[in-house]
Order: sequence, then structure tokens, then C-alpha cells
Amino acid sequence: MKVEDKKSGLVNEDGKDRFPVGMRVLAVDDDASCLKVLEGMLRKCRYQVTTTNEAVMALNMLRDKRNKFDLVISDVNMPDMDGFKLLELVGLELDLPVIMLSGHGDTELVMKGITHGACDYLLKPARMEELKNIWQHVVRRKKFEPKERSKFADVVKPLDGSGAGEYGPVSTSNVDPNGKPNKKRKDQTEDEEEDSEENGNENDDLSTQKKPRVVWSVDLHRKFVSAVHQLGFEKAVPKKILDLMNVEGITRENVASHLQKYRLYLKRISNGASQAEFGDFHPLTGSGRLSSASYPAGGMLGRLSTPASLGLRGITSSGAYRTNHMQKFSSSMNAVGTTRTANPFQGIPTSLELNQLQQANVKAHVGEFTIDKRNARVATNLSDARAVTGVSSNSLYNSPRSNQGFLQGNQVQTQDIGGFVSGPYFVDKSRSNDMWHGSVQLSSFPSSNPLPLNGTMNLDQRSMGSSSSVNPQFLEGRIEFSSTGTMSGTMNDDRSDIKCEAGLVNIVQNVNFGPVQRWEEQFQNYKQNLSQNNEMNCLVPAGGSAGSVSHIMGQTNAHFSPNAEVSLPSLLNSGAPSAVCHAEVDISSMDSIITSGENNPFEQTKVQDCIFDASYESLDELMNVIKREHNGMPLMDADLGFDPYPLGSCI
Amino acid sequence: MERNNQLHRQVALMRQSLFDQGYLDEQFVQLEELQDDTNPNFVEEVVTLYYRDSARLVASIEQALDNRPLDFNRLDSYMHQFKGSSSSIGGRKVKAECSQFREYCRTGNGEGCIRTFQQVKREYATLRKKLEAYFQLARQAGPRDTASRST
Repeated sequence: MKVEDKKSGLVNEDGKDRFPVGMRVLAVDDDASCLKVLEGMLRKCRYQVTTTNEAVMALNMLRDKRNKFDLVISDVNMPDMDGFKLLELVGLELDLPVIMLSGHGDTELVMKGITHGACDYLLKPARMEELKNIWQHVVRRKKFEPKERSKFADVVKPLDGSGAGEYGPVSTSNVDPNGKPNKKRKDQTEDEEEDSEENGNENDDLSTQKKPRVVWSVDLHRKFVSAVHQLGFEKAVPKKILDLMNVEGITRENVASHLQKYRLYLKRISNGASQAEFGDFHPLTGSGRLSSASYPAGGMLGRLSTPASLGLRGITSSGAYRTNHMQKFSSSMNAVGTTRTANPFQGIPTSLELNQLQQANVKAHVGEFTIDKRNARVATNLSDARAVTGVSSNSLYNSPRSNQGFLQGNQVQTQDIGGFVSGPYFVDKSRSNDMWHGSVQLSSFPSSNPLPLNGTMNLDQRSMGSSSSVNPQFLEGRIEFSSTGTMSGTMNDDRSDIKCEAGLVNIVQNVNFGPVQRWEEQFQNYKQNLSQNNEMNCLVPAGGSAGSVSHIMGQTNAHFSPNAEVSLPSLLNSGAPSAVCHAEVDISSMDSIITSGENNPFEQTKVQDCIFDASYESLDELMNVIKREHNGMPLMDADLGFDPYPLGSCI
Repeated sequence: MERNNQLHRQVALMRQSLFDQGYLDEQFVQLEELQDDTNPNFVEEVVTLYYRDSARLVASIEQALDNRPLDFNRLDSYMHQFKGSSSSIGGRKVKAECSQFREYCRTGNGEGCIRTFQQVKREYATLRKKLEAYFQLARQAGPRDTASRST
């Protein structure tokens, strides 16, 4: 890390930063003896400690000297202000990592901490070993969130609990429930982090320097993605991407960091499958203190099988939607679909698991999901898991029953996806469980913000042949994912078109047979389509189809202008509301990007990121397959015969 | 010299017995480890703060126990704080009694609460007395190289 003036002069003569030595910590606890002990321990770790026993005072100090602290540790039970509230405020306004400390270790509290954005949750009495490693939260955040703080803060409404949904690498931003999966993830991410560090001076720069944050808007991300596509995923290097993007004000480092996130996202999606258990998904920082129990999702995530399968599943899941379990999400999903087309998928709570994913702060606004006229965006609340809170979509989910039927099949997948269904975006790409995890983590977004899961469900409609131009679009692979700008539920816009398409792709894909069956109940036509899809789906598993899908996705990506490139990890870490979208790019799963209304910009982008990252490859294949299929028979046709049905009904 | 050594030995013995008898636990050792030349009286300072907080909490609890009907939530909350403080200095027995008290609160057992609280107070008083004696002796023995700790 480079020494910055911010770092309080703990720099050696040679200018090297001695981080974590000298890290500036603010400790808050109303209990005097606990505070003193904490202070002593932190000093022992060679951090620079400031203490106060009043939360209000702490806030003032933080606000005054925004850049003078790196980390905050706060007790949960305080008389003048609730620790969670403090946590939220700090996370929102200041985007600092916050660690909760409490004598209570019950799952609910831990979960609450995560959903409110805590990076970690420690039990009292704090132990030296634990405190020694808290610096990781600072690094993580720095590494993965190069955003302009102010902008970020403005744009992103407090995403409570975003901490929960840490993005992949940083998955630990949120308190991790104890659970191997999380640890694994954390390890993975940490490894990745290390790798990137080694690889890149760029990374070094990123992590060590405090650059003005760049906000990855939807447009920006769109350019980024298109540049990446143009170059070819493997060949995409930051410099070239930067050149292609031709945007002022961003540096190669910004691009590099964004690329890394993107890659991780994709990887996560592809790895998602392996993380069958949600438990693994520990959005929270590795402290692992959080018992995985806190994440109900545990099981869910796990389900995500291999990307390929996921893809299929994803699709199906999307279709299948996500398990009714997802109640939260599914409803949201359905809700999203409300507008238009009855996205068959809509209702499907993208992640059955979502439900499980409590973490899902996912605030799936599902209700809001505005389904594109064309695309019937199914804002699937993929984030289901997360959506715990936000899933407003539940309301949307009118007929949970029906949906549930569906989703059941898909459950597996949905979970992953659940995370982010931001309306139109269907990011499902391969949703690798990882993705979900990530998304889930994201969902940890501040619970306050329900992210509308615009499920890609819209896509479903399309695929369903909802007659919208989707088909043609689909074929063309021009999946224009309208960047969800509409985040909360309003995904309706034209963006949704894209979304739908993507969704379609997914849907088709997803149509995995499992869900298909369910759908049949609902949509006879769908059956037909399903069969078609099945084929496609089959393809998908073959991995070939995935490609096509990816194409579609890819294309859509291009269109997406991610608002805020909220890398999931960053989301997770920052607990910032932007945790958004972490839409799992589960192609199949209509991972709608759940974008919380507030954070829309961010969410979208995130989702976009996610989506695209996820199984990008698979999408391409998928797309191809679909295209091929399509030629043979119209997929999106009205054969699907899905008339727009109210979202709720679908589900 | 001899006397000094003897005193130090006594201090060590007293300390060890506090652990053996279960009054203190590992956390106390952590506190001791934080004590060094820059913080020579760290442990004692922390413990002093503990006394102060605890006195306040005990008084609050007592008052709450006088009210009828018993407000278990409030009682639980106080006790949670007290437990937290006690655990941060390593007061093992006190902590155990606090847990017991909270369990009674959880089940709404007023009688149990009152009874347990007496035990809490008793353990707290005992611990306090022992620690005070310990610190006093330690002060008397004077500064010396910290003996190897045996926990």
C-alpha cells in the first residue's frame, strides 16, 4: 500500500506503508471496561485507536474527519443509539467498514448485523486473534470499491446490510456466518485477491492508493462490456479496454479493477454450482463468526450446480422460478412481471433459495418489477435470498402457489440467482452458485433497500413468445438489457426489452425440464416452448448453448450501462446499498437484477456486472444455440403462448 | 530481597489460585498480556472501571427487582451488560451466574431471578475482594519481571 497522507504517517523512510500497522480504528462501546480492553488490544495490534463511549460522538467524529479513520468497531447495545443504526449510517454516509461487537451471538442478531452492512460480527469479549485480522476488511474494501465516495453515497441509498452480500472476492464483507462455504469463498476470494495483487501493479495501485472513486454507471459499464466483448474475453486487458471505451476520467487502474470484478463475477457464476450450499456463501467477511446458520440460504446456494447445469437450471430456475420458497423473491419476481407479460417466469422467485437466503437483503422490490411491455421483465427477485427484506415482490407474487410449483423444480438454481434479480436484467448467466453467493451477499444489502428483482423474467415472456419483438431481438442476440435504471421495479422501460431477451434466453435455457413441467400447468404453450427450450436447454448443458446465451447476454451487456459498478464484493463489503444487483447472471435464472430502487443506478450496474460476468461464456453458447433453434422454430413465438399474465399469477 | 522474592511468590500463588478456583478465566490472561511498560497498570485500571460499571448495574437491577410486575426484558438487558463487562475482565463465576439469571428472565421465572441475583451479587463481591487483595499484594511486591505465566 502506498502511503497516503491519510495514513497517519506510519510510513517508513522508504515510503512504504506499514499497513496494517497504524490502521486507524474508531472503537465505540458504552461499557467502560470493555472499551478499555478493546482499546488495549487494538493498540497491541499496533493500530491507531480512538475511543468513545457514545455513539453520537462517534458519528460526529467520523463525519468531521471523514478520512481519518479506516475502520469502525462498535458495540451493538448502546444507550444513546442502537449499534445497528450507527452501522447503517456509517456504512451509508461514509462507506467505512464497520465491525459489530456484542455479547449476544444469536443468529438473528448476527444476521441483522450483516444485513445492516457490517463487515464482521465479533463476540465479546473480543480476542486478540480476531482483532489482529480486522484490517482485511479495509483492504478488501479498498481493493474492490474504487468509487467516488460522495457519489456513491449519494446515489446509493443506504443499502442496509449490503455487507451481507459481499461480492465474490470480498464476500466476507458481511459477517460470514460460520460455515465452511464462506470460509471457502473467502479463501477463494482472498486468493484471488492475492493473485491479482501479484499480477498487477495495477492492483497494487488500486489497493494501495486512494483514488477518487469512479462510479461505474450503466453506460460506462455497457461500454466496458462491449469493449470486453470486442476484444474477446480472454484478450481483454485493461489498457485495450480503456482505449476501446474511450471515456475520459477513468484510468487503466479503474478499468483493471472493474475487470477483475467482472471476471470474478463470471467465475463466480461458473463456480456457483460447486457451492451448493448457501452456507458457503458468506457474504460476511470471513470472520466466520457468523454462524452460517444465519444464512438460511445455505442450502440454497449450494444447489447451484455447475455453471452449465446452473445455466440450465438457472434458466429453469428462472422459469421454474425459483422455488416458491423464495417467497420473498418470488413474489417479487412475480410482481415484477406484473406489468406485462405474464412472464411465466416472473413469479418464479428466482431463487428458491432466495427465501432461504435470508441474507438476501435483497430487497427485491419485486413488486416493482415492471415488466417490460415487451419483455415482461420478470424482475425476479432472484435475490431471493437476500430479499429477505426487500422482497416486496412478494406482493407481486400473487400466486405463490402456482409459482411455487414451478419453482420447486428449480429451486436449486434459483437460489443462486435469487440474488439479484433486477428487473430486466437477467443476469443469470451461469449463475454459478458463486454468483449467488455473491449476490446473496449483496443482498445483504442494507435491508432497507429492497432491490427490485427485475427478474429477467421478462425475458421469459419473451421467450414465451410473448410476442414482443423479443423474438427477433432474441435472435439477433441483441439483448438489450435496458439497464435497469429502473431499478426498483420499474424496470419496465425499454430496458426491459433487453432484459427480457436475456431472460428469454435464459428462460429457454432454464426451461430445464424440471420447471417445464410446472409450467405446463400454467402454460400449455409453454410446454411447447419448453420442449423447444429443452432442446436448448439440452444444449445448454452441453455447454454449447451456453455460448449462445452468453452471446445474448454479452450483447445485452453491451447495452447495459451499468450504473454503478458495484462489484458485488464491494457491495458486500461496503454494505452499501449498492449492493445491488448482484444479479446472478444466471442465464437461466432470470436473475433479475435486483436493484433496489434507491440504488438503482448502482444496482443495475451491479447486476449487469453480475449478469454478464456470469457465465458469459455460457451465454454465448446459449445464444448460439438459441439462435439456431430459433431458426428452426421460433422460440419466442407466441407458441409459447404466454400471454402476459399477471406476474402474480404466474407464480 | 528475600522478602521481595517471597512476596512475588505469594502473588504468583494467589494469582494461580484465582484461576484454579475458577474465579478468573483466559480473558484475564489476555488483559495481563496487554500490560507492559507503556501500560504498567493496565489490568488494574480495567478492573477498576469494571467495578464502577458493575456497581451501577447492580443498583439498577436491584431497583428493577423491586418493581412489580417484573420487567424481564429490562432485567435481561441489564444483566446482559453486566455479563459483558464481567466477561471482558475474565470474571468467570460472575459470568456464569449472570447467564443463569438471564435464563430465568427468559423463562419469566421471577423467583429464580431474585434468587440468582443474590448469587450474582455474592460472586461479584467475592471476586472483587480477591482481586483487590491480589492487586494490593502485587503492588507491595513491587515491579519485577513478569513471571512466566502459568494459566
